[in-house]
Amino acid sequence: MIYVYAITDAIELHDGPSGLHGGQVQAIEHEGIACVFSTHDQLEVSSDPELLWAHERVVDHLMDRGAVLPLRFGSVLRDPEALRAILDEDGARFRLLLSRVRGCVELAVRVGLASSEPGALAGGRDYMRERLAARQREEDAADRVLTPLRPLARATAHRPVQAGNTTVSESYLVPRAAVEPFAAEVRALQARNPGLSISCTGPWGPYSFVDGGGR
Amino acid sequence: MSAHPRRTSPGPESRHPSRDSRPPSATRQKDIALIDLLDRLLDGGVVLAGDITLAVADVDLVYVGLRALVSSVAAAERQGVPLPR
Repeated sequence: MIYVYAITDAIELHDGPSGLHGGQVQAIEHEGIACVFSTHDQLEVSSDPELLWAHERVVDHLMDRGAVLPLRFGSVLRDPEALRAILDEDGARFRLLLSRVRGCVELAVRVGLASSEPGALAGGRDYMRERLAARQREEDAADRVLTPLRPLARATAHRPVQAGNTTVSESYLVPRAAVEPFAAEVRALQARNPGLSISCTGPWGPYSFVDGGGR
Repeated sequence: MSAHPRRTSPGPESRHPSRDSRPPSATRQKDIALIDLLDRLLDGGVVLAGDITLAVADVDLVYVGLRALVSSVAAAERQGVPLPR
């Protein structure tokens, strides 16, 4: 079977990192785009951080060389022929998506909110009131931190707040040349909002900007 | 686990400049980088059409655990609770 990492328009695997479980990374090309994969006799894919980072290292290597569509973690196919069939079928869509992310990286911003204490709630009315208050805090944080960052990005992907979570997060598709100005703006926002806990990670492959990729 | 060194840039130098001038906990930065990694690799990315197998076991469990960890660490730091280093 094969494990698939990414679709790219730059097929440069020389001196690249190995893949999952040390697998050798290969590519098949089809009309100017390539799919990058490794071959395995048997493969167990768990959410072991080492495996996740191995996937991301391959994407990262490719990103330095061309436009890349990272695949979702755990994408396994029977053999390269199955992959070739997908490239044949979906090549036009992949080319369109590659053109959207070319020259850009993804940055992730997370804003910590004040936490609620569910154990202190007396009943349904308090629960609803707390839900509304939590939503208000979320919007305040978004206004103060996320809105000023959006003009620095080519595209923005908002991630809905998960139940019980105390952070708001958003992803930004940022041209490489704008990464430093973006980071400077994050630092300035943190300085202006000492009550909030802001984190920014990246650059990542454009995982949040491949809509239309089959999801 | 070895977090990619670039992953914690371009974050701010300190997440609590008003209250705490210590450098941010390397452990916490690693946790945040890991959950941002999980968000992207498990919830984003292209999903191929065709005879694809998404063969990831145990994802939900690890994912929920990490979310809880990052949330609780963030909350504890905001309340000024000294964290184990």
